[in-house]
Amino acid sequence: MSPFEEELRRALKREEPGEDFTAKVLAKIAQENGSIKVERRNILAHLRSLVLGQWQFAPALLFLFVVVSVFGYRQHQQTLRGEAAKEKLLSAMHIAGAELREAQSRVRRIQSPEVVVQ
Amino acid sequence: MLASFDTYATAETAESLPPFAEVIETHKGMVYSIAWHFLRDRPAAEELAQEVFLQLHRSWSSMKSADHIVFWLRKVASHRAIDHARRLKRRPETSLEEAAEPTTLERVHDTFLSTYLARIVASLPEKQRMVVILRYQEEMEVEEISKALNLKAATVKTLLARAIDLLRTKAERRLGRVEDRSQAARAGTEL
Amino acid sequence: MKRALCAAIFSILTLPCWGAPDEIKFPINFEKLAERAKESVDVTLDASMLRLASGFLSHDDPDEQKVKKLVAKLKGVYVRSFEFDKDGQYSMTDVEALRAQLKGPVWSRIVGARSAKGEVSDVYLKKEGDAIGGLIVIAAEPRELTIVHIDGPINPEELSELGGHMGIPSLDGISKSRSTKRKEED
Repeated sequence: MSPFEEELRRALKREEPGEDFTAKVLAKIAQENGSIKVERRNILAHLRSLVLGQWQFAPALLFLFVVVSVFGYRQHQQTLRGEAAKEKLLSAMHIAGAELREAQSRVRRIQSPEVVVQ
Repeated sequence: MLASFDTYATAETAESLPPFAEVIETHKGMVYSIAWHFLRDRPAAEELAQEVFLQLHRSWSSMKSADHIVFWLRKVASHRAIDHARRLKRRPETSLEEAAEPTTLERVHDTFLSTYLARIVASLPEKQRMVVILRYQEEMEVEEISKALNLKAATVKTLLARAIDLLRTKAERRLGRVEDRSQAARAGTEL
Repeated sequence: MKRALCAAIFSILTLPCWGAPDEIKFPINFEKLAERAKESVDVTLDASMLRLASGFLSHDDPDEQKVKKLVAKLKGVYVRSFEFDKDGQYSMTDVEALRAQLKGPVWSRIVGARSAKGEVSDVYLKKEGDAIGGLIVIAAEPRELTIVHIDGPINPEELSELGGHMGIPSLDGISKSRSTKRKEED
């Protein structure tokens, strides 16, 4: 590395954020999870009262639970596929845009472009 | 070649990941510094860094290894910082011309060089700026930078070369030859 | 250049169209190119995959929303890109099988640029009535070959502005020597 680049490295050395940074992040996460947990608790409490009050529906509820679990797994798989497809799409569109721009700039650079207009 | 989609969709067995709080402690400096050197705004940098870790928490199930976490953090921090700057429509290139002349004392103490360099890095166009930060703060190779920023390697190289030229020219115009300054600083003499 | 591009697009849209086979197939020997290449990119997204991917684009990210709008009516996005470690690993005859499918009234070449350094850029548009029904870009350098096929109605101007997506500013004013070394992470 040249002396200038060494200076640049020194200039861009890492710095630490405030001391309570980690605590703040964890607090925000707890806040996010808290709102989800309350909703889950409410749903569970509701289901519990349904089951206890209507025990004769237990087999049906069990069946429902299995169906929901399978559905949940499939959703998770679908999410994985979707995220992967999204990344591919963004990469592909980026490449396409870049190649189009390169074609345009190449035509500009070549003083007498062979622009074929039909 | 990319694996077939079905193979991709099967979740890999992740190596054992460190606890999340430990990940924050280990990498907060890296994430914060990317944001800080890019934005030159400490509150904004800290908030951005927090958001990056929040996003990491939401994406935790897709993390595969400690290295993957580092790559992911650098990539997301870079993209968020660039997005943030674009939203603010900040183009601080003019700030370079407005940068105050260093005082004699500052020149002698050469720490100004670091501060000045950091400031003129922050005045580069966004893409060049991030490439420089990832190269010299994170010491990433061109290939790693190209993956993190979704740029071609040749583009990264071009941006880097141009950025160095520009930074060196501007720094030397203000402060004299950097090599001479470095030597003078080490010798304790004034230019 | 933009004006020329717009004029070219306008002129081909006014040509008569007699209908032609719709599907473009990548030549079979592209698989051999991938084996020879140092790096390669292979993206195949048909209509159903595009719908799936589109559903995961972020509502909050303006650039991902641009992509979402661009791909809304597309039938497919296909990319093949190869980078080689030395010259002569491919020849344009590898591409000729693809070009042969673009001869005829449906596809029109609107940009054809060749440089003394052996760089080639061709842009083809597909006409469907008064609208554009597809786009193909063939970009070649001595050690790199990239083919992009977008099947469906696409706005080339909006697509070429997409360099700003994902927070990366557009590349205007920066001359590029392309040497793609993109390897997607699985």
